[in-house]
Amino acid sequence: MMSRGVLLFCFDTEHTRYHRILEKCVHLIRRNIKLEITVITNYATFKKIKPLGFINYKFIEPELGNTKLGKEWNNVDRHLAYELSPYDTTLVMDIDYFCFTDNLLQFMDTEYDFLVPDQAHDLTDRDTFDHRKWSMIPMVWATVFIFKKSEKSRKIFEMIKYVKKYYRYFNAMYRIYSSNLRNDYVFAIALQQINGFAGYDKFPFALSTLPPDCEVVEMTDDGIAWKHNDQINFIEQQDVHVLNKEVADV
Amino acid sequence: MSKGFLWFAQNNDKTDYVELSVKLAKSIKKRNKENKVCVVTDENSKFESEHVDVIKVLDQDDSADHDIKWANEYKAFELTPFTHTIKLEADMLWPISTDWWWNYLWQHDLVFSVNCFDYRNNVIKDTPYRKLFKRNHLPNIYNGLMYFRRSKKAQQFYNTARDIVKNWNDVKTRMLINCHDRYPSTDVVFALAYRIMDPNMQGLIDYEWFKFIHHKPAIHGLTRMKDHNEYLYPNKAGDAVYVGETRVSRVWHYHDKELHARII
Repeated sequence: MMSRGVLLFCFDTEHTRYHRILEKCVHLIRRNIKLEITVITNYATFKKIKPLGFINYKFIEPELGNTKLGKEWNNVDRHLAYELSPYDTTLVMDIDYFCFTDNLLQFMDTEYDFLVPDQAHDLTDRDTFDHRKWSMIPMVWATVFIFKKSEKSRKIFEMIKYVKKYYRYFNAMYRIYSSNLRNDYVFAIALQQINGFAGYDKFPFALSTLPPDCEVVEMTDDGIAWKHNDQINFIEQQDVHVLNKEVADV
Repeated sequence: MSKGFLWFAQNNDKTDYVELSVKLAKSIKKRNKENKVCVVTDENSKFESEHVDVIKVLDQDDSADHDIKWANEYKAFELTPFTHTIKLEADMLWPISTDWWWNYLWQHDLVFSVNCFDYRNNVIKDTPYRKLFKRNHLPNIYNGLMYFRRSKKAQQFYNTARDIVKNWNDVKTRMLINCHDRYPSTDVVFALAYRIMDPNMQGLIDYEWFKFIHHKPAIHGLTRMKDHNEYLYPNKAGDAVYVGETRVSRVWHYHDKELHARII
């Protein structure tokens, strides 16, 4: 029997209590995805996480130095997912991706070695995720991806490491506007390079995403409500990627 | 049961279609086992090339006094030496092996490329170039990549296309809405011919792989650029052609004849 599981990365920073977001994310995975969970974290964060039942914890020290909007952003360890995952098929998710459905489960049993989404849908209908003008390469969303422990996946991760190592070069070559390291671009570049510049396998859906200016006001087991421009809206039975990190306090 | 590729090459004041044809033929032969090529030309453009197996010279050039040489394309059916023909346009490049296509195509009488790809391999259905098609409810097909077999249905199709071309002035004023094409544009002619044969388009076959990359700015979503080639910078490295960040891995209709001189 091939093992399947979810791999999450969680490191608190000075500004954001990511462990609080992790707790919400784990709750929804348990409820809807129902797969074993492994959390990659450090001891400082681990100490703050409330008891969550059976979870595998693996401790690493996050690579520091990356920033987002001037704040510490510990997101550059995603390239280690292949080595760190104990599963044959792994679903890797950002902890701010909330599974209100079991939709992702159906992609755990496909013939694809590596799947990642390349489209995001703005839940506020403002189409804010058209990234064309920000680089010469179509971006993927490394928020959620699924890989199998296979030779092809191993090579993809090797390529991801290579791109990460020489990211300043690739960043300039693909004329990427932001200079900080962003997994979305690292993955996009690696996938494009290793597939001979001619396309790669993608999820057949767009990630439903709440932009950072949407303040989450309520989260239930079925959905999420947010405030934007003094208007309240909500969505249910739909997985949602929340970009506003204040969700930790909801 | 012969199989092969056919297209028309009639030079005009601006473009040497024979030169484009030889390069297209070379690219087909380089990567395909099924690689017989027939080029139809006129007296003025007559040529010989080791890469072209059959060269047919038109007895009568219906586009002799036309600036754009479209008016002979309906003759493809009668001129093809093949049982199974893929019809193309001269300003294309064939960077891949498509031998497997025949296994699907020869099960049908007529297959068109429906819609096209942008350089990032997205299927593009709606473009500003096809307003006439939309207005007239014509199928969004491209004659630049189509298949036909020697069959009654294909013959009927080409006969209908012939009638449209021969009566172009009547057709464009009385049958089509808002059509101002001076000469019978082959895409419009073929789309109308198909619509007449199959009004509900129930028999229109749309294979996801039987399409080409159309190198026009609006197809790529680059209408704001003065010159989309300055942005995408098509270039050749070894055998591969790159457009933007993507290697051209499908049949490429480069369209812009200057590109041919620069990179192909």
